[in-house]
Amino acid sequence: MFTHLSERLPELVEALWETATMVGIATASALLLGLPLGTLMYLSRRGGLREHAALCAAVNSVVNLIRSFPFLILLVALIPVTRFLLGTSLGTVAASVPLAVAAVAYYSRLSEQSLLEVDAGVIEAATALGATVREILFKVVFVEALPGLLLGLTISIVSFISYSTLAGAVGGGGIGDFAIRYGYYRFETDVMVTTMAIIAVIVQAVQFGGGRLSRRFDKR
Amino acid sequence: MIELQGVSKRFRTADGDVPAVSDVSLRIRPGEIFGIVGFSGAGKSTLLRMINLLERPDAGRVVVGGQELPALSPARLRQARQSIGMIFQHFNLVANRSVQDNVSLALEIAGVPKAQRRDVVQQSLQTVGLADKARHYPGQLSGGQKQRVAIARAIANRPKVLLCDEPTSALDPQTTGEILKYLRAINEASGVTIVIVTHELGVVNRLCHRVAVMEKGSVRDTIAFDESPRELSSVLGRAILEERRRDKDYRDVYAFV
Repeated sequence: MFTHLSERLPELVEALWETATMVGIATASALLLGLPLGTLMYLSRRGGLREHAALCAAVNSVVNLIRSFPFLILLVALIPVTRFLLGTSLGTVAASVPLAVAAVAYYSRLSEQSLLEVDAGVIEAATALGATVREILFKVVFVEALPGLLLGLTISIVSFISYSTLAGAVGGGGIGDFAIRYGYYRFETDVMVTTMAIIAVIVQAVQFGGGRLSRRFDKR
Repeated sequence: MIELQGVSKRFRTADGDVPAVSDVSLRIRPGEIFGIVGFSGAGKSTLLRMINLLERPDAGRVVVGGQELPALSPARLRQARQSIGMIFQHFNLVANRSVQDNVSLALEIAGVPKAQRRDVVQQSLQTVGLADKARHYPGQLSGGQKQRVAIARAIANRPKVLLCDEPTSALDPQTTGEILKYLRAINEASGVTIVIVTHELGVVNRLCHRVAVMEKGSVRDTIAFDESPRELSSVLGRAILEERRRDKDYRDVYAFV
């Protein structure tokens, strides 16, 4: 039954490593750029702590623009950008560029949403205590939103895993590319089934871990 | 301590401008417990929120502790707010911060060094009888306990003024009595000026030295309980005095028993 699998094992491990690289870069980008961008949208929106109509409109339209393309299209459309940045559009790191762009836009929206759920009364209490916007943000808003931000990140990582499988289309490799090449094109059904099982287990683990982490910080 | 002069505030709504507070003037003395009562929509919360500029008046003067608040720079206003405590109907505690960290928040914002914060937090919690709950989270407390944490947070910086926005409206009568007891004790011990907005006449009667009755954005009557009653123009004002008389009769009867 598992005739092909043993032969493909080294390549499977490599594919998993490539996927981890792509998802890792996407997740780091989401946190380092997506969260600040989401915070910017939260602060600058009408009625926000630092209203700024022009900035709010600009950031929102860029985020919406990126989010409006199906990922496969974005992947191809950003090839020139990737080539400009890295000198090549092939390989795992190159495939991570469009993935990171999508990740930043995706998580900025989710984090904005989590921040918006923070009770206005608590923010008002901090304002009445004489807090600056920075203090309100770091001592109240992020503290209250942390469980939601973590759940949002969990959802995002699952999506990034899914997106990363498309990266094979631009030579990014990874587990999706592996499953298509062997499981589909070569009819190696055992390889296909095993790969699917591995992806399922990874996604379950991410969801489980993220949920637990979120609950740990949730004292409501 | 607090002086409002010709203060007005309008809110912009879909149906146009709605006046919330129109030309109100009040003078609240140091150490006094001053009530603001009125029916829903009378503008009493808006008036209270103008004392620490959570609402900025469209016109008029707001002077607290000798400072004209609307004229202050943002930094000076934040500093002024550190000596004006506030508690709310729905407590507004940070759910993901422990009880002690909620109280500590006030001190962090005021720039109190970490070494001193511990003691002040402990003292503030002792004042409201919750020293043993320091490590709990607000979600583990009852409504009355949450309001007491909010009081501890509000008094941590030893404010000169404590604003109370319907502090007992979400609580049952027994818990209400408890909160009022703490507020009175804090007023007597520290001399803090308390301004309390409520629609419960019982709260006014048991706590306040003076009370302003608001109707449609204006102060209709001001009643000082230590003076002989004057002619009152508001229904609510007369109801307050009536209830006070009944309360007193009741107490007199029971004094004999």
